[in-house]
Amino acid sequence: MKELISKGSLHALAGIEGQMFLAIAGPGLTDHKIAEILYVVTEGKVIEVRANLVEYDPQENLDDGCEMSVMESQLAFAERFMSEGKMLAFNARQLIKKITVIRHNVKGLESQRISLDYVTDVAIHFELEIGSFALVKTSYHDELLCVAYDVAISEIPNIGSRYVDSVTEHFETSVQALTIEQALTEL
Amino acid sequence: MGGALGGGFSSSGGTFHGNLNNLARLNNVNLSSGEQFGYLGSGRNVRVIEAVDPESAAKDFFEKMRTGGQVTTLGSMNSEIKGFRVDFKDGSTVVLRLKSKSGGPAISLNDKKNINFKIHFETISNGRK
Repeated sequence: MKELISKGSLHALAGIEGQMFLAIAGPGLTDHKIAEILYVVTEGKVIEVRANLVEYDPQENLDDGCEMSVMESQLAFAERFMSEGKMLAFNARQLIKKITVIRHNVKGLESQRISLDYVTDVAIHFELEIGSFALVKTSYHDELLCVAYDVAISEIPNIGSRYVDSVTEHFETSVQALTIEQALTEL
Repeated sequence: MGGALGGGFSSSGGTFHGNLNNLARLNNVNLSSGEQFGYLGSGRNVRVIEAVDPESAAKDFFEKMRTGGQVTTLGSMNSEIKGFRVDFKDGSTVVLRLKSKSGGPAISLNDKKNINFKIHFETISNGRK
């Protein structure tokens, strides 16, 4: 099972590399920096980042998943929420130097056979001239994103997971950090 | 069930774990001994609670879990409200989806540490409770 950021989404992300970051805004953006939809506003472009719930057939013994998607948007959409104060402007007016996709590969092992092979993009990390921020899934299973400020790629917050060890099943997670170009070649 | 669902902070100072423990006590579920709500569903860490009125049961469960949290509408960009979520100060979240793939409502609980499960609310069938 794979939940990878699509080609179109990666191209939308590539469009804001090198732009000047201004703010993050979104409906329902709470004090806890959690929202379903986040707008990344730069001087020239705006992108909309979503986490879309994916409900799998329970017969496959898979829990709900969540797919990140990115699309170009318009300043007017973001401004609706910025005018309501649903925005974060920490580290504003810094150029976006590099965008990295964080990918988890979760393997389940049960009685020496692979019980789960789950690949999912869990975060998008934005390196700025000074500082950074990341948009991170709160869980593999829910359609929510949180904003983490000034975190190194290796310090991306824990992702909530229902794939936890039991008496019979063991899970191993490996983490990949991919540039947009690398993510495109892996599709 | 309590008052209507909606945005804003809940009035009293509950916590995710405090609310969960209160709910467990009310339902005679001994969480510390590994007991859980409802019965095991078909997915990993998916539980099922059967009720005469699953929607009311889910909303009642959610009302008790939301105390002390910040409530936000899910799907607020569209005309259709998909559900509600609650954020607690410690980063824990509770999500009520009014409809899930199984048809009925579902609640996800996530404390970013040990608790991460989903409860489907379904209509009582086959005499199972």
